[in-house]
Amino acid sequence: MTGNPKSPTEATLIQHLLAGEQSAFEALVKMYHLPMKRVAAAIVGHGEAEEAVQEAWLAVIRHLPGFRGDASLKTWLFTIVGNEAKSRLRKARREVSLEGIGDDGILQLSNDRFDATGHWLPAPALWEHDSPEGLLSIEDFRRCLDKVLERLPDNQRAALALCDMDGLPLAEICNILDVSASNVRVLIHRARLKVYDMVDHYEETGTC
Amino acid sequence: MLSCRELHQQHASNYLDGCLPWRKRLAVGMHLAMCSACRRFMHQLKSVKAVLRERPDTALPESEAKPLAARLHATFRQQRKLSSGGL
Repeated sequence: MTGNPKSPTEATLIQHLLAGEQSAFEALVKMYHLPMKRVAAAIVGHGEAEEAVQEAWLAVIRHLPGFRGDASLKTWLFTIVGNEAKSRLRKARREVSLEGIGDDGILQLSNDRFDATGHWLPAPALWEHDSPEGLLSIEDFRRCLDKVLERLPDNQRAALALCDMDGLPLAEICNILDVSASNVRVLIHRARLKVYDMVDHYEETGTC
Repeated sequence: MLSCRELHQQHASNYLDGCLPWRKRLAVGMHLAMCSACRRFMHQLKSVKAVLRERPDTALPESEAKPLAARLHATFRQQRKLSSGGL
């Protein structure tokens, strides 16, 4: 598996974990529990995600002494929780199918932006704030962003987060979610367009 | 010739993420050279990607993190004791 080389912070955290320091376990859990839950939710659904993550943590502890750092800690954790979630699906004898790419609402909505010849109708408006720092410094905007991310289908949210927030390469996202490369790209694009529509609306109206 | 709708609905993220084959990449590049509306859209979509990258991820609240970490820590110590043959 490909993976980023361990950052100094990550290497230090692993060292402290292996030394059995409780504060390192707290840092690990604080940093990765919710992102791991996001991955699990994409596979088993929101209802079973917490249980899958709890099981995954036990597997992490079991395998921690053997962690060699071939992949980044983040990729390793996401792979474990992905496998745990997939195994829960198999045990429940449900079909493992994350290939569904979610609703088509966004494409329907986006069609209104174009005329019959495929040209913009009208062209995208200029944004007053388009720097990430500027936008993220506005509390209302952060709330709108949380809301739009929450409303994404689980698989779109996980694919977008793994790509844009966690910065994982597409090949790793495919492995973790067990989805083909073409579908991962569709999931990411649809999710990103929904966030784009929210930002565009926010820029125009100051509301979500 | 690629339309604005096709660029928006099919190729924008792949172009941004460097996932397009070279022919398609060239087609998108040519479209962008001629279409200011799509240039603005691509610039804004890039900003959306940056917003997501820089958004601070929510950390697990202390009240949930502490007990979970304590449990994992205890399991880790127990496991180490067993593997080293201790009691």
